[in-house]
Amino acid sequence: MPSFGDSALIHVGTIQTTNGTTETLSFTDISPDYRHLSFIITGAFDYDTNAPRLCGFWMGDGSYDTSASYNRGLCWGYNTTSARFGDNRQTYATMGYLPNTQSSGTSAWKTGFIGVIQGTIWNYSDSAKATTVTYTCQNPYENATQVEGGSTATYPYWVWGWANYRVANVVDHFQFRAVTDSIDFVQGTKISLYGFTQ
Amino acid sequence: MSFVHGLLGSSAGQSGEAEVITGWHFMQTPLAPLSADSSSAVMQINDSSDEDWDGYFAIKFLFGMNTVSTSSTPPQIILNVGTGVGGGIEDSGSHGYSGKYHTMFEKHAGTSEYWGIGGKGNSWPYNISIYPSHSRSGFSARSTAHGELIFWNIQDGDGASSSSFKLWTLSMCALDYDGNNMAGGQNQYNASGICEFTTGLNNIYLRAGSNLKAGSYCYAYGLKDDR
Repeated sequence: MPSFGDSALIHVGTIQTTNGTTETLSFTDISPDYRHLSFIITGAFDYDTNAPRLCGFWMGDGSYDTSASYNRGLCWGYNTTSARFGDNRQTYATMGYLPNTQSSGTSAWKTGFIGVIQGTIWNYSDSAKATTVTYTCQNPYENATQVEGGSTATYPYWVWGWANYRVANVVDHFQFRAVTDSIDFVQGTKISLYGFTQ
Repeated sequence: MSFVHGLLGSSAGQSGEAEVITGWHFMQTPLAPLSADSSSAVMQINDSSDEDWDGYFAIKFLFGMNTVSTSSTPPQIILNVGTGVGGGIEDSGSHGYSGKYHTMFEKHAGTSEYWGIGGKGNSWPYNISIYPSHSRSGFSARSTAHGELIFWNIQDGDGASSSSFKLWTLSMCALDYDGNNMAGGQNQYNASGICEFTTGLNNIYLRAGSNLKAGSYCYAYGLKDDR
């Protein structure tokens, strides 16, 4: 049991890709010892297109729930554009964007650029409560042709978002990946979980 | 894919971890609170033998910044990093216009809001509208800007192979309760940027485009994982 004065955060786990062919970052059998989980994701996708890629996550008790269990809300923007969005009873929760970078592609977004997603999974270990996730996402990257001072900078996305997993149960599974297609993360993409002591 | 963990259960590939890793750790004091205005003080942290960065994948600056500027154009933040050992900073002199820094920002000021690019291919986060509070007439002496600057991926997972650049995020409030008689006086910013380095960082260096005023300070914290 924790005592007053103990660290608020305990490292629960880290997954880091060591190749360029990984499509999902998944935690199973997450310990229920904590009240909430803090997470940090840094990385990008290995794909040839000139806009960031929408990411999603799935949760569940014993498996990943892909039914209509997620309510979602977010605001996002890039350059001088911004928008707000929300819906309910969807089959996945959105989790912002990560850059698409591929040095050999025709769009050729510069390899090495990454984005960061930070957030908290609230009440994951309380079987009487629905789990909620809040997050922020920043993708400060640009097309290689723009790096040296080009005039058009279009897609350095930022996102603030929220999702509610409607099912009241303990969440011990958590998966993060691109929402559509089978897209690989670049090598070195990483997710870390930290538990809030209670 | 490697799967490393601390306190997970029994899935394939998972194993126990000998040492419990806790959250943010105090690391260094890049700038102790200034008792007087300074013409030379900066907020600087270096990887060195007595302050080893090994094991940290993120470093956070919690800082307060005020400057002596009374210009109608408030000073801007200047951020530089270095990969050299022993405190070397790759400042504008050595970087010049080599294009290592790219920045975006989101700004809220009163009822207005704005998003934009704060510079691409510059020697620091150029032209980003993040203003430290200052000493212009009408501004309270207590109107200090406060911010949280986090550098992510500073060592590419402590040795793991990666070609990823270094990424920073900044949340900062430059607030003056005396009113909005000057641009930059009551702004909230969220910014982020990329530095085109794939080598692990050894130095982080934060200052303003004007001398720092008494009361400015900075403390640094580090976050570990097991990669």
